[in-house]
Amino acid sequence: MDLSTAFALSAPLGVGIAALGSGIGLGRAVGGAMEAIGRQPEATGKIQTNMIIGAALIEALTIYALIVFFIALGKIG
Amino acid sequence: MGLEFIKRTYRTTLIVAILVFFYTWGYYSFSSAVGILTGTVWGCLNLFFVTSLVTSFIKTGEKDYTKIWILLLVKFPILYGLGFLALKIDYFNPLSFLLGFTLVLAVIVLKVLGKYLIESVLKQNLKEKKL
Repeated sequence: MDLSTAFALSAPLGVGIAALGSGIGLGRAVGGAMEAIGRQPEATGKIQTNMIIGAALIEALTIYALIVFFIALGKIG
Repeated sequence: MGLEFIKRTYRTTLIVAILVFFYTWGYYSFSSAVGILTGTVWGCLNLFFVTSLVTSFIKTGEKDYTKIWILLLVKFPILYGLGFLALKIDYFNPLSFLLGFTLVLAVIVLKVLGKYLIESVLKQNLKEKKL
């Protein structure tokens, strides 16, 4: 197996694993926020903003994986 | 920390991005500066759509499903497709796009850190005054 073939196999797998991790993390975060809003509806505003920030940070991890994939793709050809 | 925090984040990020754009243009290259600015604008748009989607979903009372569908349609195929195209046209290094995208997150993290640091110092001062 040459380098290009190994990369072609491993890079999408890596992005997939990153997406899976982000998906699990985001699901847990949103689930926790929904529970918290259900328990304390008066704190919706604060919980919502914290959840948005958390969601943006978690989502960024997959985007990082995707951009690193593009960078590596450019380096290997 | 309400939605005002996110609005302030956009403003700060765009101001920092413009400064970084001119700095990179002057000291490095124009294409990298464009990459950083594109990454920042894309990151801000992404955050805007995440915010709009979450607020539309959590909204109590009657939900505007047309708005939710439009937001979903714009965020997932269109915004992500634009990001893909921006990386695919190969005008700038993807690393500069990555740096621009990180700028939004860096501003959020620094703002939150600063806010908590100030709050903890104020609490400490209040405790000392009470003692």
